[in-house]
Amino acid sequence: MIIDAHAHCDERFGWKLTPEVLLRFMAEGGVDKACITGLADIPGDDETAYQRFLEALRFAPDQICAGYLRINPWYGDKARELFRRAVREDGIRGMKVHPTTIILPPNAPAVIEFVRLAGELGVPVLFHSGDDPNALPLQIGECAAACPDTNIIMGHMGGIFFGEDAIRVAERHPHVYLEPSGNPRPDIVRKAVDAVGAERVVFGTDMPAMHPSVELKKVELAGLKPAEKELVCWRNIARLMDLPVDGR
Amino acid sequence: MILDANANLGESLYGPRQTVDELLRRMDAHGIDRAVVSPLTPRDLDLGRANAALAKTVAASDRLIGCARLDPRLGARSVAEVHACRDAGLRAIKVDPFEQAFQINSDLVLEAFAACADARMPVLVVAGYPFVSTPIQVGDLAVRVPSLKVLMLHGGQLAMHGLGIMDCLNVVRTVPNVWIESSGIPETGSGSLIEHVVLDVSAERAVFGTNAPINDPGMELERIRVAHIPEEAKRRILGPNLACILGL
Repeated sequence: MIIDAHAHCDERFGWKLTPEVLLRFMAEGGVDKACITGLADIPGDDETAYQRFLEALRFAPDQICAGYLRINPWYGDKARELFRRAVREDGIRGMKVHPTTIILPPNAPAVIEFVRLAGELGVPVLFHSGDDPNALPLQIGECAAACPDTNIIMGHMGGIFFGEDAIRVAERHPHVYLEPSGNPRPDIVRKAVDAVGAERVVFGTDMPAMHPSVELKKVELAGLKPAEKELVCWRNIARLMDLPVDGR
Repeated sequence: MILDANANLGESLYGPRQTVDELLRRMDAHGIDRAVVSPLTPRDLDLGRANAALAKTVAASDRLIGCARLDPRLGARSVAEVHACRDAGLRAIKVDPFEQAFQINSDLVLEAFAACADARMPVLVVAGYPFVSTPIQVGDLAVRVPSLKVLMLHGGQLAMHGLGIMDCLNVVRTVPNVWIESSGIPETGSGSLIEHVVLDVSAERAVFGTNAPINDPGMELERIRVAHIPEEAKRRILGPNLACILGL
């Protein structure tokens, strides 16, 4: 069983990441299920974005199995109400925050408020992190310190240059999970597991931007024990997202 | 025939290390026939001595092609080092603008790169760093020294945000003396940089590289294998394109 904790499904910016495209990539890489987010921050300029997101989740619910709503904190109450409704009524299981596209760092008060809201609703937050100056792991660490009741998944675990910071942040905050998609270093999964345990590392691809076969190579290179590999490849994200899967 | 455009030898100040035997074993394990090799940053920072040692190493091997490391900031001294490396049988020059703190298209370094062009030594640029080697800066160097062959390592994507993809494509499309090298490019999925270069520009403008031992050759080969491009394009990327650039 392989569950991708970080995939995308949407059509925007000229990208056509339709459910069909996503399913094709999943098949090419041997990914069984994917947790998705869209490409638009919601609310925002794209009035059909939320509907597209829900439709993507209904397309093949056994495979495209859960969603993080990509939230735009600049919209205040409107965004809060949308997120509450998304979780309580539409079955959304997480929040996505992309600090670069919303032009807010993770430790900004407006972001912290939404991360706390996710915790109150019992769902995790997936952050984009990496080399952008307002998506740094240490900034996510400050957010995590302010939001001890919210599980945080650090997508890309610091990108190309900030892997060490990502690991330090996860070491300091037990509710931070590391997701290594896109990082080209072959030893990154091993380092993450050695530092914080397999219980806090989740497999992700950022698919379709990245290819699952390449990302799975990193898991192979980590030389994980079977039980560790199960945790990384599906058990951890299934628990975080409360997914009804048993690994068969 | 598989050629690796970007492998490393020695023991780096920053940790990575690779002996000739280790590299050859990795090449054999992955079916790589020949590799362009550069010295990792030596602990004593003496690039001239590292280049001289590399020249002896590659002279004793029919599978390794020597690529000197150069500090291009030193005017006549840099030019003299280019000439010495050429005379010692090294075939290319590699620069790391972040490590040595210069902007790749700065007036400060043009004399050295002009000397590389005169010596018919292609330049491998560690590319994608902010401020010093963004794709558009690499393109500007190639415009300013049009007789210089420039390999933009990592596709100019040493950053997780993907914001340099458009500039990279524009550079490859408009500047004929720039090629991209594939190691570590995060985006390998739908509409990946390699796919765009091949399908929108030309299959002749990308070369395969591993950045071993920092990156893993198997993972890097996977980037090419999974690309949605014609098999003939993959064949060219894995060998003939580099052979043309180096005049092998």
